[in-house]
Parts: sequence; C-alpha cells; structure tokens
Amino acid sequence: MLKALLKKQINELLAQMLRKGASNKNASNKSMLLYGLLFIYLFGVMGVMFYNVAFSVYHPFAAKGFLWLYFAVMAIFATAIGIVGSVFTAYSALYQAKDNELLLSMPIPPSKILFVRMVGIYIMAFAFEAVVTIPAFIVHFICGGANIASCVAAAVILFVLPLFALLLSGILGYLIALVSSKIKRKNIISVILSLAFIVGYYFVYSQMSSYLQVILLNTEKVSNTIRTAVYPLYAMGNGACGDILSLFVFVLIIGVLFALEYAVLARNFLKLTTTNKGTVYKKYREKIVKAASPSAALLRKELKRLASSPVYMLNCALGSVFMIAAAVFAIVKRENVVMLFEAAGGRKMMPLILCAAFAVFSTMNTVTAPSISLEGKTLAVTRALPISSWQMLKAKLELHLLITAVPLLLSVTVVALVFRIDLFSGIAAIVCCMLFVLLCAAFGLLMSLKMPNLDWTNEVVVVKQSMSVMLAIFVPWIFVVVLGGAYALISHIISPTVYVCIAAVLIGVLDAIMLHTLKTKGTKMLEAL
Amino acid sequence: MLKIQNLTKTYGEKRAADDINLHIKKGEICAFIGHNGAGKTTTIKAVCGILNFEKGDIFIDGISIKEAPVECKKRIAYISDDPELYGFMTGIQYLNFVADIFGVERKERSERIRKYADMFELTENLAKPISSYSHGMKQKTAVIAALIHGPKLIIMDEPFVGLDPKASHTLKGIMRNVCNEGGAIFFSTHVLEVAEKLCDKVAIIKNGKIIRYGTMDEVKGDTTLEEVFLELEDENA
Repeated sequence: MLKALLKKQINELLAQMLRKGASNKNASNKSMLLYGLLFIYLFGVMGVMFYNVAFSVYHPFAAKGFLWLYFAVMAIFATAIGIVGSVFTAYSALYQAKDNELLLSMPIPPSKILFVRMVGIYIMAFAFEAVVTIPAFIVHFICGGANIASCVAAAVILFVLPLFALLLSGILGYLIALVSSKIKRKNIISVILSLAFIVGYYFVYSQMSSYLQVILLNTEKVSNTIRTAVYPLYAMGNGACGDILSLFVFVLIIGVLFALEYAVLARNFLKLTTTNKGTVYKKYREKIVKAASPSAALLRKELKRLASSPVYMLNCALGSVFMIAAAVFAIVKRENVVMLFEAAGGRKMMPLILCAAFAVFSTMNTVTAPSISLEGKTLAVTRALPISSWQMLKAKLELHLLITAVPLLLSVTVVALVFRIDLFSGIAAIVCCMLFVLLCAAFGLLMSLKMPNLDWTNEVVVVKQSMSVMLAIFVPWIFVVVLGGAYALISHIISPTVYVCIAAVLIGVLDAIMLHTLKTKGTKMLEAL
Repeated sequence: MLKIQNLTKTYGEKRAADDINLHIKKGEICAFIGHNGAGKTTTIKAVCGILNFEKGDIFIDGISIKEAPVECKKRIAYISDDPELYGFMTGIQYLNFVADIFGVERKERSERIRKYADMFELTENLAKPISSYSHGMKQKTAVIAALIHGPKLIIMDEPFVGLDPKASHTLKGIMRNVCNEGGAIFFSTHVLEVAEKLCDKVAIIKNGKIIRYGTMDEVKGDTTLEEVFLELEDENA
C-alpha cells in the first residue's frame, strides 16, 4: 500500500518533466536530456556558489581546531536553503491536495497518506540542501582528506539533515492548518503568517555574513554556546568530522524529534483535512452590480484566482513585495547604496544597476507560468464562453503586468527620484524594466502553454514544482546576466544610459516576437488542450 | 438552428466521431443517446467549440463554428456533465462573471438570476463559495449561468445527473419553455424515459457513428425508446 502511495507521489512530482504537454505522452529523450541538463546547470551554479562559500570558511575554522563548527555553519546554510524549498508549500502540500477525499475513502490509514505527502516535501528539501551539503563535504575531502568514516558521515548527513527542514515545515504547515480550521479568512491569515515567516527568514539571512564574522572572531565562545544550547548541531558537526558516535547521536535526536512530530501530525491529520470552519458563509442579499466588459471580467477572474490561493500568491507574486522592500531599503540605507554605486563605477552606472536589480526582482514573479495549468478542469468552462483564445491569454498577461509592472514602476520611479538620476536615464531605465516585465510575462505564458498539467491533485505541483515555473524564473534571470555581461565587454565604448536604451529596443523587439507567437501559435496550443 | 455536417474527430486511430450528420431546427429538443464512450461528449464538445475536429463543419444559426467560433458561442449555452466551476468564486460572482462575458445588461441579468435562482431554490446559497457547493448545487449554478444570456441553443451533457427530482422537473420545464420561445436543445442522456417524454428528435450513436436518427416517432415506432436502443446495440455489436 505504502509503495503504491509513494509511487503516486513521486509520479506526481515527475509528471511535469516526463510528460509532453497536453498530449499526456511521455516526453521525448531529447526533451528529457534537455531538462536533465537544465537541472544540472541550475544546481551546478548554486553548488559552485556554495563551494566558494565553503572554501572561504573551511580554513579559518580548521586552523583554529573547530572543524565541527564549519560543518555546523554549513548545515545552517543548508537548512535555510532547504526551508525555502519546503516551508512555504507545506500547508498546501500536506493538507490541501485534491485527492484527500479519494484517499481517505480508501482503506488507507491517514498516517500513511501524511507520510507520503511528507516524502514529497522531503524530496524538495533534499534537492535544495544538497547544493550546500555536497560542496561542503567536497571542500572537506579536498582540504582535509577523506576516509571511510567521513564518507559514511557525508552520506548519512546528506539524507538526515533535510529531515530538520521537513520538521520545521511540518510545524508551520500544522500551525497554519490549525489556525485555518478555526478562523475565517483563512487565505489572508495563511499569507500573513507566511509573509511574517519570510520577513524573519530574510532578516536572519541578510545578517548571515555578520553572524559568520562574529562566529569566526569568537569561535571558542560560540562553540561553547552551540555545544550546550544546540547540542544536535554540535553532534552533527563532530559526526561530519568522522566521529561515528556523535553521528549516531545526531541521527537519533533528529529521528526522535521527527517521530514525535509525525505522531502529532498523524493524530490530527484526518481532523485538519476534513474540518472546514474557515469558510465565510454569508446569506445572499441582492445588490446592484456593475456590468463589466468581457476583458475586465476575465482579468477580475484571474485576480480572484490569485487572491484565493496563498500558495500561488507566495510563490508567484512575491517579487512585488521584494521590489517595494528594495525601494524602501534603498531609501533608508541611501548611503550604503551610493557606496555600492561608487564601487560599481560611479553615478553614471546608476541607470544600468537600477535596471538590472529591479529586473532580477521582477523575475521572481511568475504569475503566468502556472496559469494555464491552474485552470485545470475549469478550462472547458472558460473555453465554452464567447471569447477568443487570445482574450483568455491576454487576461493572464494583464494579471502578470498588474501584479508586477505597477509596483515595479512605483519602486523604480521612487529610487530614480531619490538618487537624482537624470530624467532621460530614469525614463530609459523605467521603459527598459517595463518591457522586460512584459517579456517575462509572455515567456511564462508560452511555457505554461507548452507544458500544461490540467489534472493536478495539488496546486503546489504546478505552482512551485513545474518545469514551466522553473524556466520562467531562470531563463529571464540568465537573460539579465547575459545582458549585464555584454555591457562589461563594451563598457569602454558605450555609456550605461545608451546601453539601457539599446537593451530596451532589443527587449521591445523580443516582446513583439513573443506576443506574435502567443497570438498565433499560443492560441492554437490553447485550443488543442 | 444546429447543423452538423460530416463531423469527424479522431484520437490517434480511434474515430470518436465518424462522419456525423444532424440537423436540429428551432423549437426542437433532440436527445443524444449512446453507451459510455460512444462519442457523445466528443460530439457535444465539438459543437460547443471546445474541441477541434479534422473533417466536416458545424453551423449554429447558419454560422460555421470553424470560421466564427466566438459568434457561435454567443448563441449557445453549454452545460457540462461534470460542472467543474471556479471554486474560488461565490455563486453570484460566477453568475456575474458569465453575464459580463456575454455582455448581459445589469437589469436583465438581475432579473434572470433572481428568476432562475428562485426556481432552483439556490438564492440563499449564492453568496457562498462554489468550492463549498454540492454536485447538485454546482449543476444548478451551471444551468442558471447557461440561461443568463437567453441562448438560442442549449447544449447539455447529462444535465439531470446530480439534480434532485424537483430541480429535474424545473429543468425540464425550462427546456420546454426555451423551445417554445424559438430556441433549440441538444442534450445527451442515459435516462431514456426522460428522452422519450421530452424530446422531439433522437439520435443514437455507437462507436462514433450515428446508427439511428429521426423524430421520436420515426425512431421508436410502436415500441419504447429503451427497446429500440437495446435492439440497435445488439444488432451492431
């Protein structure tokens, strides 16, 4: 039974990659190879980044004789990354799957359903943590040498450490489910709780380098504190160094904590998945309604879908929050930002840096990328309406622009004004950013049409784990890096403002191509679903 | 009102609709019957413009669905067998959304929502989210949404599934009224007694082919529709 459930869970995770669009056929070997290479590239880039971090901190700790602290620090990094991969979707993944009723109606103990859902979260946490854990051990093997004990420790920690991220995700998911089952307006509460967590998380993350400095300066004091206050971390560090007894203690502690959490969650799983006190039941009273045009009605529908799903909002529209936060940060920490500009080549670089920074923030919004998949079975309802396929696609593009372009416009304008960027450069930066947002929206929509999944059982699968979303984040991100790199090559012959104008023209041309593709091929793809 | 000409739709090697020809005039109710997987839903989805087909054409009020799908959709209403509506909307939000898409005036839509919601005893529940509706309530909402723009042709796939006896009775009355006012109805059903009592015409489909089509009297003669259907099924087995 458990085997069948696990197979279902893993198939659901892999469905996006192994399935070819709407045809439900397996993807060709070429596509699979391409996906494989993309994954290797993405994880490779992150792995190299953490390899450099690990390499820079290994020797200071090793020289002071606190190698275990090196592993403890890297484990904190890994857990922080693992949490990103799991915590924001835990509630939805654990308690809101569409197949809850189906599975609960079968002779399956709720604990087993919970277990396979946790396996899904564990796989995500494992994948994210591996990009930190593996480089950390590679650095250790290169600099300190490898033996059987350290190899065993590496393998054990690689698999056991993500359980801690799962532990935290499970607690947050459980708390949200508990609160949601008792209160009204559950979506808002869920978003607020998650946003509060994100704020706390990023605050700690932004202070990480100063924490690291403190640890390196006060190694002995910090190590004593960790040893007494966070013993499992100490045991893990010692275990990673090859002390098998410490490794056993670490595994035992994590195992016991996880078992305790699993027992609590399993006991309440049925209650939490079936209790629904949170819906607002209002008696209908007829009101005068404003008639809207079909386009406005479609946009309103898209907005309602976004607002109804905390998972969709938190995973695909978080960039807007970051843009506003970045603008506030730039104003509050004006002097630091000016110093950054100076270091990057002086005030003349401002339009280019402004463009690049906000373009990267805007890639965090992937509203269009899962939008076709999110239609699910309601796609037939929408398609039966007297609207053209292009109108339907346009509404999705408009939502992306509304969510992304409006805060972007505000943020870039405010920052440009505060830093007194000249009018022409400021306008060029704003136009360039706006065109880039349109490009991201159109690209995300095209990916959604190319890789739709209309029969998902949990929206987390399409919102967070789908290939279309992944491509919609990373391809535009790589595009920004390439554009930035290209400027480095020709910076001696062209001013940053002129380069921004050229980039805007290039992006504008790509926009036109992308929109034409959506209007012609995209609409045909939609009709073929 | 509805003319299906040589409609052919294939899935790989399987012909889900094989050279189908049907003609439904104004004021007629036509039942579409056949066993599971015979090709009913495929044909209905093609008529509604949500499924492309390789050969043939479909005309709604003389307009080709291939050439002007949006114009055709403005004249029809489709009620699916599995009313998967937008769960993130309330009933009233969904009805207003559909009314906006069809460009129904404020006054007209309010009157129709009031009238049909009362008929289906759904008024009290209109402010609730659709995600909390039962299957029957969703079906009622889908029916009201289908009627909100006063369609000339209503296409229904198993419309009585999930409806309580009173709602079924109400729907039958509405179907007859639509036809009396010059509309037409084309619907699939497995309830042959309902088809026999309600319909002017009947089409029987098997393995994608229409094996019998005509007025109810022409098709069933002196026997019952059930007997004719079972006989045809055996003959063509």
